[in-house]
Amino acid sequence: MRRKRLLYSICLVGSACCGYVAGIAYERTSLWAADQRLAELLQIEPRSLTDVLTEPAEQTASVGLRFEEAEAHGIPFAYENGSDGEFHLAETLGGGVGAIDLDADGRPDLIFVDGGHPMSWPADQASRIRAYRQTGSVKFQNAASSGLSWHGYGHGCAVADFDNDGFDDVLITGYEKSTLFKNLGDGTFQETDLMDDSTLGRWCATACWTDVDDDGDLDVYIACYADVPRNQPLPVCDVGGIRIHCNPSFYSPASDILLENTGDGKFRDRSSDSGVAALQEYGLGVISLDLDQDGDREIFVANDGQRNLLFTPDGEWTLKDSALISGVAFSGQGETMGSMGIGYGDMDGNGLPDLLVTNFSNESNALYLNMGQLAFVDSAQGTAIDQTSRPMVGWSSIVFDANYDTQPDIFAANGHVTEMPGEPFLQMPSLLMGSPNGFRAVENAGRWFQTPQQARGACRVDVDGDTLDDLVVSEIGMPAAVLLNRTAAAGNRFTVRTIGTRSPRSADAVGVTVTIGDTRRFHVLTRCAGYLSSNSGTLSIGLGSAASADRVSVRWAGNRIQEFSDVAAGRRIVLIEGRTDPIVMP
Amino acid sequence: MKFSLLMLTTFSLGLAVFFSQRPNVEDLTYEASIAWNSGDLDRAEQLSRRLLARAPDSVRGREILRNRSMATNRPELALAVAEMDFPNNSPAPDRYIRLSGIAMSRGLFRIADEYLADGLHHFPDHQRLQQQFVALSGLRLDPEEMLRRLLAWAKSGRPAPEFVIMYLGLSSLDSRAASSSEEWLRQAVEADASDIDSRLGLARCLMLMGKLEQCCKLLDASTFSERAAVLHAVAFALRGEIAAAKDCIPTSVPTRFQAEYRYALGLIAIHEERWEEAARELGSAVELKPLSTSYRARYCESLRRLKRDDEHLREVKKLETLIQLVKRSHQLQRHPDMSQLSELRQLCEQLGDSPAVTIISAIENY
Repeated sequence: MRRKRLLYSICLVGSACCGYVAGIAYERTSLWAADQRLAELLQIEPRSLTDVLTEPAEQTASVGLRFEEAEAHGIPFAYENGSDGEFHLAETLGGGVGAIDLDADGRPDLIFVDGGHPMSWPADQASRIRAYRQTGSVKFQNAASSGLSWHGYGHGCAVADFDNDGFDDVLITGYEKSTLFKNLGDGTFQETDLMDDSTLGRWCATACWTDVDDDGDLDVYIACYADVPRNQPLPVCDVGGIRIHCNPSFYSPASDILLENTGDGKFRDRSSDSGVAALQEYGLGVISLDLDQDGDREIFVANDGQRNLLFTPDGEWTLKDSALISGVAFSGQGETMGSMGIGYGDMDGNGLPDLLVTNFSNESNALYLNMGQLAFVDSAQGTAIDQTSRPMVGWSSIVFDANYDTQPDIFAANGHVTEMPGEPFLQMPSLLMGSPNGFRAVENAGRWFQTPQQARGACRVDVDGDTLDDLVVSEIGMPAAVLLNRTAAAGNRFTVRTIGTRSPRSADAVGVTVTIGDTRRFHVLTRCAGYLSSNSGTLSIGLGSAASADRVSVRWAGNRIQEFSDVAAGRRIVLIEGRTDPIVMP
Repeated sequence: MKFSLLMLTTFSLGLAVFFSQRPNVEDLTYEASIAWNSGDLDRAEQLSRRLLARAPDSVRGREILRNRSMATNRPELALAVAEMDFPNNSPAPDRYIRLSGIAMSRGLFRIADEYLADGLHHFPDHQRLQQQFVALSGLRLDPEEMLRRLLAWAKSGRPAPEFVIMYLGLSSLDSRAASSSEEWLRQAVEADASDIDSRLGLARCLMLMGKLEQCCKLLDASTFSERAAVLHAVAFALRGEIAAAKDCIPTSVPTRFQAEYRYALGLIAIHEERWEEAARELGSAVELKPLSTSYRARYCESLRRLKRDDEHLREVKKLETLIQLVKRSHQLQRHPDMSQLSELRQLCEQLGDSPAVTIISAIENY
């Protein structure tokens, strides 16, 4: 009985405990769980994209293309843009560099254009041209005694022999002032009247000398940018709380200038007659080439944020803009681009000059392949040109055969205009190697190419006389770079300089077609470098492994053609218009 | 019998003792706060769930779970907490706006879309819901869907002019504008892999920015859909991989992305130098999407190759008109001036975009 009672008591206590535990269990299970029911309903599937969307490795080539920055060259130049918080748009363009033989000693000398301060230049009497004479191999000395002294806020430097006297002259372009310097032939220069101040008081960027009317002397096209009055307060833009330069659409565009060389040392303004003045865009780069190989020169203008222009001759001193119909006004995607500089060369080997236009960041550089009869197709999309250029703000672009394998390679100077959030201000320069299968970015091209820069104007010139074309680059706030071509396994090559007799004496889009066996490659010789700068008048042409070129065909202005056979590698030749045999230089 | 009753009584007694001893709502709130403040987040979440089960109105419990949602990337938690603000799933417009807003902020575009569509089902005239519904298709870079939504909006009210301008910008989207959408769309696709529309938007964005390799990889990893196949074909064709483009392009005209389909066929024909076919396909693509600069540029190229000079000149002029329209709509996005709508309508008329003209006219005549 007692045992039974004990058992009952245990059962009752157990029951009470069960009740307590049931309470705990209830408490634990009665949790708010609406989110779990919602998750089942919504079926959200978070998944990382890292494996899918990592940036693809650039298609790179390590092929021995190599440039070494010359040291102790004696050029202590860095473009000063006067940036001090006013965010003047002129601070963004930078300056150019010109290859010139100041003293006619056969060694290339260099001219750099400097800025200063865009708001105070009338009072600032420091010369904004720096001329450097090469006195020894890659050793330069300041050539202040040359008379190349200029006060203003400078950008461009267009070198050519405008008066056909055998000596290179210099046109300096800048913010509200442009000036022509005539070479007196004794190593000194004299400022010359180009036009009245009202015309040249515009803000102009790049100039290109070219014989528009085929009369044997060089006229000049000057691409002008915007109308930004010097003495007015400037707008300053803001992105994410950071003050930046406003884009040019905040200002009116300036019309370009076309000047006719009347042959007596004077110039006539043809901007209105020709139709150039009627088209007002933000002009930065300009080049003149015989794009359709009909003997006349076409003028291509790269505009910032507006359609590009392509002027074709349409009667005496009348130019027609054919950019829209030719397919070069916009990108291949039909977009207006922030176009800056222009490179040129026969990129696809069809015997016609193609155009490479550098653009703003988040835009691909455009590669306008020339299909003939002034029809172009932008073929950059999806290529290494597209891949490497989109993060960059591109400026000068030089198309040249850096390793002399007969395929053109591409250099592009990069650097941002302003401290844009999320985009680097200093940017890597681009070097792309050409091959029959397209272009590939070059890795290990030298220390300079692995360092972010603020590069702007650049020119191609064989500084050290080894027949390998070198590069000289002007930079904002950083030392100018003399990049010596040290490509070890460079192909065979010869150099060409042309002298026009009926055509202008300076090379003005002279076409040089080199035939080796069954292959032909077209080259262009002009001093215009596309953005603020001037190339050397001598061009090194690659032969690859061939010992000589079977035929060299030269197309002068007016489609006058001369042919030369068996030009051996290693030669330095001068081709004179009308003279049947080339002059071989020692 | 007596014993059973006794057992039941003691069981109830046990329960009663438990309930009398358990912490009350105030104590739970206190404990949850202490746990949260001391960094014991799991316990804080557990206590908050207990708290909300007992007191659904607890502000502190909701707050802790909302914060927990942010920290653990569980958007459903934030959505469920927000749902509690609208008891019995009452279909108030604010509910849909609030929930879609939370979903959008977490990159859950598909969920936001569903909430907004549901909201518009109940409140078809609600302006704010219409705005968000239209804007969402814009965020996913889908002008076709945006147009459909704008037309639906025009039937039930007056579409806001800024959304029409947004549509014009989206239809003629360029690489610069696309780059600003990339981050959004990446987040959306990562937040919800089953969101096919955002995935296609990201593919379109990458394509516009020239990131064709990444675009193809993204579409490779997509669940098969007709629309993905069409975009894949375009991407392959732009990369010059014509065999791959031909392999994946649908064999018949798809129900959606018809313009892209024609564009892909046109690009393939261009690569194969079949200029007549290229012009025909690209002409169709332009008719379907008159505001695409890429389509028009390629169409011009094919006409140039065919030496159809008059037609080419006409189309080139239209391309210039389109670029003018793009510039005007960009300017109006920055500095809205709705008196300029008639100019936009005229440009759309010149370009043959009748749906855009219909919408602008609806705004003007409202």
